[in-house]
Amino acid sequence: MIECKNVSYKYETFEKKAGLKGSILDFGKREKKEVTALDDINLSIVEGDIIGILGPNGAGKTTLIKLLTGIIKPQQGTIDSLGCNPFSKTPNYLSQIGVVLGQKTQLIWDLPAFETLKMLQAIYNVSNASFSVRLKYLTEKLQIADKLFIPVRKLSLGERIKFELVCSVIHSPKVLFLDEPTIGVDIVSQYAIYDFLHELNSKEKTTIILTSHYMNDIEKMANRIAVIIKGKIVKESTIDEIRKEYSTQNCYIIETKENKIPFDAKAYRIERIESCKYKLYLNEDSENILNNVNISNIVSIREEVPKLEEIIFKMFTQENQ
Amino acid sequence: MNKYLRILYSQISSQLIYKFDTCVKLALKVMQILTTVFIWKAIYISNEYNYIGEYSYNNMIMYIILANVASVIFSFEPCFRLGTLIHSGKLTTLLLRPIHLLYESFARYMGSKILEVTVYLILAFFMINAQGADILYVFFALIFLLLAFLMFFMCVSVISTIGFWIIQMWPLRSILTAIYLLMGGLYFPLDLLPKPYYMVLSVTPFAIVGHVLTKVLTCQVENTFILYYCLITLIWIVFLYYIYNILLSKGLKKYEGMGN
Repeated sequence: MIECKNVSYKYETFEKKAGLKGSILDFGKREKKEVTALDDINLSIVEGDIIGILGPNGAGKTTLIKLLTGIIKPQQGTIDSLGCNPFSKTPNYLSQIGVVLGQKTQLIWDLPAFETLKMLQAIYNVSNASFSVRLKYLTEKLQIADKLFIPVRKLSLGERIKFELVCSVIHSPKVLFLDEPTIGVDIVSQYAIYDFLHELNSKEKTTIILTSHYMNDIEKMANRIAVIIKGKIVKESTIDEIRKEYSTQNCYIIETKENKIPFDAKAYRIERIESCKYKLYLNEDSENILNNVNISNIVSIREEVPKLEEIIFKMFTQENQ
Repeated sequence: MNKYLRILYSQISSQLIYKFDTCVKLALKVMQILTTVFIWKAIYISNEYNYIGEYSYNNMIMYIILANVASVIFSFEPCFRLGTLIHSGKLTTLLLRPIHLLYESFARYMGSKILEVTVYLILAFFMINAQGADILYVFFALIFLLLAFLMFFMCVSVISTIGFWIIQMWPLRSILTAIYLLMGGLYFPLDLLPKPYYMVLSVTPFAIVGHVLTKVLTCQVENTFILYYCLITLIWIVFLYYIYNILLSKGLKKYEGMGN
């Protein structure tokens, strides 16, 4: 469905020294600098995928979205999206994608969101019957049906983001690009958005490509992630596989009622995390059967699974080093 | 077509929100016209002229009013809109829609100027009728008005593409306004200039939408004159459309979608 082969993108920027002297020198001759935003990216996305693109600030996530949507053109490599070259911006391609850029609104600021949606209906050539049905479904699902006729500037940030989503899917796109879709949105709205996107993905098989700094967004929505660091994809896998890879093998967290270990601990390495909470490392070569277990002192035993946030932090740190 | 009509409609709706803005613009224009009228009145009275060039006092006042009213519809706003969209990165949202940037811009421009265009058309129609022009003249004049409007829009669209290469477009505003006021003949009729200068200036876009159009609407010319300028204007439209597409294509390759 979407295939990136050896895609690279560089952009030009400049450096200016501080102070008046720097400004004068910059006025005379600007020191230009080439920055590699993306370097040899290979990525395949199939229909119905929800892929999260992760990376620290300036890693190249938004650049990748811009390339996939056709805003910018790769300097090297090829992109095939829905059988089209995105940069050619054919009406056929643009009609099959929907985009939410968290920091760039497509709503007409002074008019009610309904006016923008009617304009989009005309732009995407959606019939009146389909438009009415879809608008009703989308606004009810996102709980903004009563806000349709309120000027956009009077809406809360969460409501505006929800309308941005409605705008991006009103024409039933095959691929939905979401760049920071929950930026500044409260937890209730975030969950409503997650729920809505899951339903869209399962009912309409909409492929979703998502970037976000909120790990929660990625964890709740994506079934696959691609981690970009310094313009390169350093990891591409499912969240479960990544968790497995980064989980501490044979490690369990035991919570107790009393502040003492509830079994015979001689054969194991035990680490006290906090009061009534222990970390138990099993031996790889033994049978790992706990002896003399005092069941009444145990609250819970669970395998230690690191949070996605911790794994990603570890990845970013390792790559930076 | 339907999509651009809807964009036009949305723009009209947006425009109606800014009632105060519309009133201030109107008041400013009236003051500007009155100032120029008083200057010319002073020139005629102080020198006891009956005619300056071919213009009587009444002809001159009519010319000044029409030329300045025209400047309300021939505005440079689309130039700065594209520059702002590029600078803020908001052009991205337009590029993601299956629309032509030029037609979208035209629909918005028409939407923002619909009131002024309507008033100007009514004024132009009555002006021509009042001077007893025949139906053929009215027809040619309206065709020329339409072509002049399209040509001016193409001209500002070409200028707007500079926004892909420079960060701020606003320094251009005063330069463009000054060129329009002088070369368009808004302060004085261009045919008061020596003939060689007039011949060159009169075929430039600003003169066509200012001086030439005003001459046509005040019925000071023949049908052949209108047809000649229709042809010149048509050539400008084709040329500017071609240049616009080249610049837009180059500009889009340079566009990085940066900005807040």
